[in-house]
Amino acid sequence: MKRKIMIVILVCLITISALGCSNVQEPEEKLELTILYSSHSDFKRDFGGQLATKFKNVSFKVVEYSSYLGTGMWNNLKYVPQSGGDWDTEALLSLIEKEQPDIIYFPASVSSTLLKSNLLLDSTEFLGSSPELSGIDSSYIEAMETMGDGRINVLPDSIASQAIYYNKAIFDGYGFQEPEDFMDWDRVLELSNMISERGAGEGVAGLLTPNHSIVDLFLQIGKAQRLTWYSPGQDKVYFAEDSWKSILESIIQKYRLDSSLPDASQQASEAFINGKAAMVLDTFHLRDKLMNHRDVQWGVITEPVGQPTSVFSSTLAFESLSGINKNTPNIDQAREVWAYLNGQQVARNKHNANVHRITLPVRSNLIKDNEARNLNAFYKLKPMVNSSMQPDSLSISAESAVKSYLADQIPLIAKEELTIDEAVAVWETEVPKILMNNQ
Amino acid sequence: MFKVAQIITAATLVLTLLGCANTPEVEDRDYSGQIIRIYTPDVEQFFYRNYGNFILDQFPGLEIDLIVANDQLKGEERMKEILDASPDLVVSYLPDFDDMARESHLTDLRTLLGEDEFDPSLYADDMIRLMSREGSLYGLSPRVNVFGIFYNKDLLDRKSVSYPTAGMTWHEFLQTLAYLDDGELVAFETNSSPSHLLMGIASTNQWTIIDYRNQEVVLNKSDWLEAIDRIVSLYQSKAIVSLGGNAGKLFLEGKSLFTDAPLSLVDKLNEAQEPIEWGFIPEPVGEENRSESRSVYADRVFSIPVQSENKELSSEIIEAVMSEDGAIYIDGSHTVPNVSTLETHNNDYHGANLELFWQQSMSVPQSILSKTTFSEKFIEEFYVGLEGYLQAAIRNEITPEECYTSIEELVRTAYEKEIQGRN
Repeated sequence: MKRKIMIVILVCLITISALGCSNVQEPEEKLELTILYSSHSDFKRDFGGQLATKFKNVSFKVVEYSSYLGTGMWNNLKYVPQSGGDWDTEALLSLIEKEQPDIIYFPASVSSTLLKSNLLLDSTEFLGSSPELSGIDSSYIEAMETMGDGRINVLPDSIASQAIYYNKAIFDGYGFQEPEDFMDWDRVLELSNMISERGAGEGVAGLLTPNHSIVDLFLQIGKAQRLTWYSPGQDKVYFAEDSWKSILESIIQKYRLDSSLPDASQQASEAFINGKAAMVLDTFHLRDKLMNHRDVQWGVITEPVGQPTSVFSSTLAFESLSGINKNTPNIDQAREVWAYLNGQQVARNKHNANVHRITLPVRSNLIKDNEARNLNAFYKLKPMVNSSMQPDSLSISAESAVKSYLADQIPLIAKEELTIDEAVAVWETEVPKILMNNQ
Repeated sequence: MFKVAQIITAATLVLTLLGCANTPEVEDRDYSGQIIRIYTPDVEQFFYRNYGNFILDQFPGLEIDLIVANDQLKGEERMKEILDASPDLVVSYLPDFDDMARESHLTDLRTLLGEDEFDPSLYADDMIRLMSREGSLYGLSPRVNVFGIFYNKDLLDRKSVSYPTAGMTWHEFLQTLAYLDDGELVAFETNSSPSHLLMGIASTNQWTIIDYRNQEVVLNKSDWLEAIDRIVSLYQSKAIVSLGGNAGKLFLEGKSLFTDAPLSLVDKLNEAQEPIEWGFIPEPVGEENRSESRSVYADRVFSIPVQSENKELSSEIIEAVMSEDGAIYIDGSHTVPNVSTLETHNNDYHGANLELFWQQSMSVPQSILSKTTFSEKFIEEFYVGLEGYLQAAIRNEITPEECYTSIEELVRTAYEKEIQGRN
């Protein structure tokens, strides 16, 4: 009897071994997930073959939004349509309605429309429980929370962040103390102007801002100081206030000094590498260029802030955000994929393969420097964001029209054809008209 | 007997428990604290997109110490740079691999990878043959680039011309183009200039221009003149058109019968709003060796230097890159559309059948103006002069005969300068 039982057990075990150990799996029918993304080629560039090997039971369909919205570009460190107009948010909403993608990516500057339309799943609790999503810097999570009025529906894929690169040899040679993190705009512009005056004979600039025109810089400094220059819905601008006039004065002085440089057309990065600029406010891409110029001794500090105690950046921007469609029939699988797309591995790979590093991952732990430079400066400031429920900010076309007008005006002040008081008095009447005409 | 059954049962139980345990998943592996030093000819970002990110995903925690090649170096200088950098693993172009293997700087991968772990028969025979020397395997190429001739089936049907096949010579191809030249459709849209087309024909047929033993210029006049004559007349009648960087534009618009392009055109054809019925064959071959292709060539070669301090990890990385997962992953992310050398993957690229390409040998005839033989100055001077004479002939300013004579004189002058420079 014992023998028979043993033989039965033996046969069973052999059968189990033969069947159970085989790695041959029944082919499963693949689940299809649709992802709304800028384009097929961008999707391949950003995620490549990772998804195919990670999610073997899922097939991915990419719906392009760039064919409806046009492609985007960075202008004054804002991710805007290449066409020069505004993103067509109505077209985007229609596309989502038609295609019902499971995961939705969209340009960050249309986040207000997307969040107001209530299309996205609330991922607040999921964010707290997903190990893949841990490690995103808290300041960006907080920003998403602010935009979502306390709830998190979207996550940013990257940040466009700037820092001030400074040339150690110039600071040392001119006897200036090296700059530090969290300096405010007043101090930085003062330092810039001092260096420009000191370096005039050698054609050395104090501070160059390649991502901001002089007008954009003027408005950004005001924003950093939490100043507003127009009132939404009212025909009113505030450039005549003392705080704005004070910024204008500093900017005009910088403009005059920069205009007297012998080679003003030289690219900021080249000027910095050639020792012709003491400081440059730029993105991470300059660091990549500097890696090929080991002879340049440089350091990096945070972008200037509005007030000495501020920890906010007025220019830090997101390129695109993503969330899960509230109507997806595949919530669990969509969540798993979305978490992976926003996880550490994808962020690292995307950064590794990023040819033009204007943007950085939202995980500061991925950025390391073998020479212990302060690269964390790109991450020390928090983004300035508003709740999506607040009135819509100025359209891109209206803002561009105002900037274009001011770009004609500022040289007139610099050439003393207009005083600051005269200029701002004219702006009080002209700028509201421009805004009205471009709404 | 009962005892034997007991032992078998116990052994089976143990084997079941142990044997059913799968190979550790990627997530379970940990390479934290380990650093691999890799040499690459690509810029950092391209290396990561093509291979590096896959390696990091497969070896969690691993750190890559990347050495990017100085792109100004070639030949012996390049090899010296590689050796001086002391990498654990080398990613290189085929000529650099050849140099390293010839000088015995590389480790035999057959021994290192082990027969149980790595089966060369799973890969394209030719790739394995190109990487082998006297029974030893010194490198592996996970991917190959493919370049060939696309043809428009509808347009050829309309002209009642049969579709071209692999093994067609340049002479036959140019003859076909002349036959199809109707003054309306472009017969052949190419990315090549007249001089590159002529040198492509010369290289494929392995025409010599220098007799090194006697240090003499030796051009076979009838071969060169016939090719010059044909090229000049086809360019004159606009049967051949070069659009520079806009390769495949006319073909995609259905205005060209043939075009030469890499696999990236397959993707464009698949996405075309107005679909075209097309075929894809290898480039024309040489008269002497019709089975030898210039259409399939190794993308990058992975090898392990003899002096590598991390041979085991390097071989694990090569295995991963050569694996099925590697083929799928890299197919989705590579900056240049190409195919895996795994036989289960290499016959198809997004619907393009590549069987004909693999029926030819992968051996690439040496260019007759090899950079290792001639200085860059010689090659540059030669191409500038050659293009100038061909363009003059196309403009009818000189005859093809005069064009040939000028080219012969050009080679003679440039070679004399080269010899003087060496002395």
